[in-house]
Amino acid sequence: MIKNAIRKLLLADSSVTKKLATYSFTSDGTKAPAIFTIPVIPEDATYPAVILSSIGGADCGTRGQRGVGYGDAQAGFSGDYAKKLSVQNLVCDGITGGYNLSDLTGDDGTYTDCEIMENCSGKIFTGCTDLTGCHAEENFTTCSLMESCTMQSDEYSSSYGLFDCSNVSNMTIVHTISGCSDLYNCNVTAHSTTPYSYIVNCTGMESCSISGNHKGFAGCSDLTDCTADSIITTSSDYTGIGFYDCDDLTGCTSSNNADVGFYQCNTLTTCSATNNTNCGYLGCTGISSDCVDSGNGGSNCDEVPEE
Amino acid sequence: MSIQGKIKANLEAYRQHGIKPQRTLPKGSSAAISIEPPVCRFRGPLVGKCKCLKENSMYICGILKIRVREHQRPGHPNDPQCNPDCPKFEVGGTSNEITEAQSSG
Repeated sequence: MIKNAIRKLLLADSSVTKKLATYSFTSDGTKAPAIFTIPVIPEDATYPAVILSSIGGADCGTRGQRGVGYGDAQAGFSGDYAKKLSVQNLVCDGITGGYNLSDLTGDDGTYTDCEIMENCSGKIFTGCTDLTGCHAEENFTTCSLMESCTMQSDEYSSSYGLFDCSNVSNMTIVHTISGCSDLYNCNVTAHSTTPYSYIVNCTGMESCSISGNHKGFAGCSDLTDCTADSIITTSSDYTGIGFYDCDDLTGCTSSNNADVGFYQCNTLTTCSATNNTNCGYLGCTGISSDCVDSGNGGSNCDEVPEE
Repeated sequence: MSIQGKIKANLEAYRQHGIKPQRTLPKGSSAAISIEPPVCRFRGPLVGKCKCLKENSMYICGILKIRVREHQRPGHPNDPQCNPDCPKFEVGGTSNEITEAQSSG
């Protein structure tokens, strides 16, 4: 929808405006509207030739003003070069359909179906695309193309985490990663007091890891050079296992876990299980002879076939 | 193509042509893995589920209803055996309402 709006703008003979995003503000006066600024356009700007040039609605004044219910951002045709909208001190309740958003701040802000976001922070991001350096207090859901994003690490909740996202690079969190695909260098570390996170039902992971939590990788597939380490066991089921019910693992390492390294996994190549309490491999199929099984305890474990 | 290469290609496709990558649906066969908070443990083999008591905002470990009084114990949000997420899981119960329980045998 946003792209179509931009195409119409670019094809227009004269300057036109089109609503690109809706910004909602609290109406109780406890939060000020955002401050909108438009930075000087760089000479070598390559981003789309569209500028969010004016703010509709009653008023989108400066911090300290009250009473704005909502505002619409209008897009105007801007010539050969593009400009980016920069919103400082975001205190909006939410932004839907924003485009080219940068440097938004505000722990309570939510973003829905926004595109091209840089250094934005908020509570929940839903359906957003192309995020760089963005920070979520609670979760990213159905987002894609995320680079070096972060999450708060002080609080644990099962509703916090990375859910149903894709194409995620370079992210380290203490929360669960669930239902995601195509992840590179994404790591789950343990929350200081509540290490209940895990990586579940994901596919296409490279150089990702989890450590110190109750569970490791579960129900995942197509894993390359991934690591599960120091997974602890509790009274819950399926804890203490590095890789549980995972398929197509290459170069993956499972070590120092309180139960089994690889449990009911299929098709393992150049994988390594070391120093796990109860078996390196158990109930697995398709273990390649180049896999390593060393220093593991337990009995009736699967054996790595000899070459 | 590596995952890293695939991500770079998808990013290029989006920025050049506006093509959004589609999420590959995971196999999702791991129904046994739930996102429920872990259970809490009493002394001995019994385990229960964490609950939050509204009247005193205390976390307890609840087990069989008939024995809840003797088995409930105050917990702390930072107690690793009692999930601080309990209020979102089961809110506002009283000790008499604790009916869910299980035993590890």
